[in-house]
Amino acid sequence: MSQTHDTADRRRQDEEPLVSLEDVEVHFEKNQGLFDFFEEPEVVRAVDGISLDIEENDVLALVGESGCGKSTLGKTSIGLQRPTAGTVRYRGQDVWAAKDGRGDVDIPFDEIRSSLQIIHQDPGSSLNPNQRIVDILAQPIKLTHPDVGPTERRERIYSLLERVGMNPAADFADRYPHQLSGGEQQRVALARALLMNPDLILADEAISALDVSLRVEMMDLMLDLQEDFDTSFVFISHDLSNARYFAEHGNGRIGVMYLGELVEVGRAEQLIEDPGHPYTNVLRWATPDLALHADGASEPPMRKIDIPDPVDPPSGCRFHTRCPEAREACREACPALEGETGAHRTACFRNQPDHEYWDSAPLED
Amino acid sequence: MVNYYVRRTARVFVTIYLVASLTFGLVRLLPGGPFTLLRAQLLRQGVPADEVDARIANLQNIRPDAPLWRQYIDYMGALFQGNLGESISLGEPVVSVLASAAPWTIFVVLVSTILVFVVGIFLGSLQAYWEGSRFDQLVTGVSISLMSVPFYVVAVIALYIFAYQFGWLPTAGTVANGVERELGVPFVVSALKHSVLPILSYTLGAAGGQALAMRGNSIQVLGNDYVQVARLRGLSDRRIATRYVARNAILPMYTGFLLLLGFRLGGTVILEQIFSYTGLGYYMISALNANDYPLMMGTFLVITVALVLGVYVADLTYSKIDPRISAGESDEAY
Repeated sequence: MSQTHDTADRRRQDEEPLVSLEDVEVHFEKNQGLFDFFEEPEVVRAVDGISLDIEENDVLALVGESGCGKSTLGKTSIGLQRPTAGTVRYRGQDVWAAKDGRGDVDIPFDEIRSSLQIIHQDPGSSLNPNQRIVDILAQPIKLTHPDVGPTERRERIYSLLERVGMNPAADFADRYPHQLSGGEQQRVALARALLMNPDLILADEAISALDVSLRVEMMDLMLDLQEDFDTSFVFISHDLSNARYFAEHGNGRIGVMYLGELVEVGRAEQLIEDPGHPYTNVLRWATPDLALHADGASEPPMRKIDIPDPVDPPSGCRFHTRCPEAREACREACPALEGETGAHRTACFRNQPDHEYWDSAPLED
Repeated sequence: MVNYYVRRTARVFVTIYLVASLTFGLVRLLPGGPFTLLRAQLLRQGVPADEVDARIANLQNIRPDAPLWRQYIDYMGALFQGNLGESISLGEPVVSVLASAAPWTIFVVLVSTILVFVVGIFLGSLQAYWEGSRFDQLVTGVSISLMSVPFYVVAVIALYIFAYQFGWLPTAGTVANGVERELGVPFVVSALKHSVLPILSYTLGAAGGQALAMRGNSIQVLGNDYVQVARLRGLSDRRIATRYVARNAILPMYTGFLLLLGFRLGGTVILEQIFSYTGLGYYMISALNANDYPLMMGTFLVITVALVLGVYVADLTYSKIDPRISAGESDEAY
């Protein structure tokens, strides 16, 4: 009986996406000042109603302006940030139910915890300054393979260091983090994340702090190692050209976020060549090597530059205050992310030929 | 490149030499001169002038009629041999006065400074973990209040309450009168009893300051990404608290500890006066009151040398404790 139950579970887990977000909302209460005791606390809607699946060996690049919630969404997907509404599932297991011990827990939280790892933006602050590189890298091995002896552990560390391009490994291994360059520190952070044998790594602006010349190298390294270690990546960037490079070479998707919502998601080439959302077009305009018409680059394809306040986002489509294509309908109704899971999906009325949008009057300011 | 440690050690001797010269110079500059008063007294008592000169020379290892450079060389030469002259008011060699006084001061300062850091680090890290909680607010408030009350006020109040009102603890001295001055249970118990109030009043305010410093450091370290990654790796909370947070938060306080140790030696001047605790500070004040210049110079010299040594030890050991500071090798390229 339990045998069949187990296999059924297994099958269900195999069919489930690696990480699945369903209607996830993350709202932060703004800190109150001394004198606003009697006022309602202001709520920042960092992430608002996003559903998203991440498969095995998947690559998802999230782009958007600062403050659009892409980091919060990334942290929610690896279980670092508890969503205020909606569910996050890891292979079908609700991550926060496992953490709280609610219901039937198929996968213990510790296992989920070690399967989802992160690489931070600032490599300097992500390594303990008081540990040598070899000690930093030894810890994940001690945790995942407690039976591996010190000699073999050292060998593994050396071979991984060489694999991430740090030669001679023996020389690097005995240094402290401050004796490495930013790029080298980031490689150590990547190696440390990989040694946990994770299923998903969140690269939170992981290359933004690096020299421009090192960025491509680092992205190539991450993608190379993805094949060896069998991991998925959620890659967060504010630079569309980096996101495009990573998603294209990793054969993955790009997700575009605006004010806490996912407005477009699709395969890299398709999304860049044929953006379905006017905001994606703005991002493309803002990325010099992607702008299709060099002469048209002077005028931004939006009406206003100012970003609305995330405490009080605009009604209807959140982009309507800046969108060059906005019409009356956009002010009232909020477009949902249309399309099949996995396909190119866009949250814009313009992709629905029979929507009332086409009959309403254009917005003028 | 000359070894950093050699250079640093040489600097200690240079500093001490300069301090000694300064003491010599300052005493010469004092209005009336150090021995004018004494000479006047002796002459008034009818002591022959020759004998007066001899006695004064004996007191400070100088011949008052010799040229200044000669006096300076004599003074430094005697100092080099460990001879600080003879105390005028006590009629004993200054070195032996200092030798009997220093252990008490060192005991009080060392114990109270260690307590300051132990209590401060403990409270500060708890505050950081429970940042914003009632406990945090309470300890912050109490710390700031204690910091703003000078230790001598605490000392006087503590003395009034615990020694005079309740009579739990002795009011003055280092050990009770009847107790033999040799290492034994009665001596240790009596010495501890006498030191409770000085140590307590010297610890309270400073501990509050260190708690606030530790709180700030810990909160900063807790915000670092490597702490978050360590949690993600499933390391135990205890290991994170000790190896990751506490270690990195305490490090910057280590230099402060040794510096404070030196500075607080100087602070005992007032403390020991309040408790009539016969340590270095006590003798410094009585030397000042009695115009006992050799003793004054001796205590001053000892306190300064202690501070110089504190900084020296801090400098030498800090690179051993914090790998980010490489002693003098910062120009080595990596």
